Amino acid sequence: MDPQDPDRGLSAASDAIVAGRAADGDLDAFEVLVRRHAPMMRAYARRILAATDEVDDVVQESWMVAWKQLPELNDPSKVRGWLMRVLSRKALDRVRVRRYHSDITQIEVASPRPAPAQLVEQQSALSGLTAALAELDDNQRQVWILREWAGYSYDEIAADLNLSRSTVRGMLARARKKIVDRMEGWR
Amino acid sequence: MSSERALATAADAAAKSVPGVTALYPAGGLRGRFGAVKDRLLGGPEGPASQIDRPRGRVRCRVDISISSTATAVTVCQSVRDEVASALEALGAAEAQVVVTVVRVSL
Amino acid sequence: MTPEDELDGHTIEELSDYLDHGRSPRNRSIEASPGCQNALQAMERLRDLAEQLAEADTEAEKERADDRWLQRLLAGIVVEARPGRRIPLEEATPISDLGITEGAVRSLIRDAETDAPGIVVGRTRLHGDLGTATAEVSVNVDVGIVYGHNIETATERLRTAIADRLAAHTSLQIRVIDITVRDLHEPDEVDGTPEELG
Repeated sequence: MDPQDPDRGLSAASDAIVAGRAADGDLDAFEVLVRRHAPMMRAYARRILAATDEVDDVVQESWMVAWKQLPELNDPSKVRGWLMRVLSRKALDRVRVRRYHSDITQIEVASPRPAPAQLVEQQSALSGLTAALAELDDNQRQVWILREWAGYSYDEIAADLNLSRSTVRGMLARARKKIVDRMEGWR
Repeated sequence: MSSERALATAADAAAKSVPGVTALYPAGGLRGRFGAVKDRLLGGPEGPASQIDRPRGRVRCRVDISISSTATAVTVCQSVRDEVASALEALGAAEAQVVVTVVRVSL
Repeated sequence: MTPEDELDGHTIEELSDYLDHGRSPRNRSIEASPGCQNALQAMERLRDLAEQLAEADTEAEKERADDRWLQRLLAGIVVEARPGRRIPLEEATPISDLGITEGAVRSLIRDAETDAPGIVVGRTRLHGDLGTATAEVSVNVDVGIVYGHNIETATERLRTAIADRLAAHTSLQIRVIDITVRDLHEPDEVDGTPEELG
């Protein structure tokens, strides 16, 4: 069945309905979910990974995990945050592998290559934030993104990044300070 | 007695001949790339479907089918069982256990 | 940001933490310090900006995520059908074992929405001992309803349609069909006017 089929109304239905249905094994609903959230996941992966060639792989892997684990999601209306978390874990695995293969203690990650539409981003504040984010070190940027974008608690960040809660707390504060200082002219 | 492959082929043909059966599926599960699985569910190309094994020396034949929504599951399954059982018997496998499962109702 | 020595004895870390706790419980010393207030405001503005960046990034990706990209993404995702439990259709004998998968039953229940205009079925649950052909089961269905449809009429139609389908394709004794309306949503852009307004 075509998910866009007017009679089904599936693509207009809420996440609670679509994700619940996909959890039950409905491929059409899964497709609607992918169409709805894949751009958000790609944007998010791009910020965490700061390397374009791995972004699509990570997004794809995340959807495979999502298909398998959807039945365990208790509240399907929370699927968006849940997808972010699935994606973060996949992306962080990549970052870890990268780090393992490098002799350098502190990897200097190139600034996230902006998407074409972002190149013409008019708002200087957003470009300022993008630049400031690129200057954070890997861990700080991840902590900040997990907190501000994915809405993780300190404990969740600590668990996923293998850090202590107090380290997370410190990193987040330093990340915020660095960004604000870097953007001092912005307000 | 005939080979397992010959038995499976005969079982497939027998099951397909039953009115109300719309497709056969690989017994034991469907896995693959999204597009392929979706095509398959919509009636895409079929491979050998029925599965033959011999627990405790007796032939067991598993058949996964989809049926038409206008049919009745239990009636179709009974006919499939009867057809498959006689096809197997014709090849020397009498008293085989026939396991029929409806995995999809074609809507 | 405000230098630490102007934070009246507080630290950036403490303020960042305080902000994440929604500035609660109220800390009078922090709230009374102009230096702390400046730092908190800066961090709050940053948080708003973070949200804007997330939205702008996603919008940009939506523009880039053309159908070809989505198709490629979908094509590469490996999925496994979800048959669920196997429900017997009659008692098994040494030569016969007939059944239907829970997955097939769920798709039957979802299909019932075609007889109930305005309803989209979400998650479906079957409760009961599915290992016996004539088990008593209760069915739980989450649904969304398109604005403009009468909820009672729509759910009643759905209930009847589900009962009919289950009777045709299973031997289960349906004890109850519970329908939970999860939300109301706008029609698809392509959707026509709902049949029964009001």
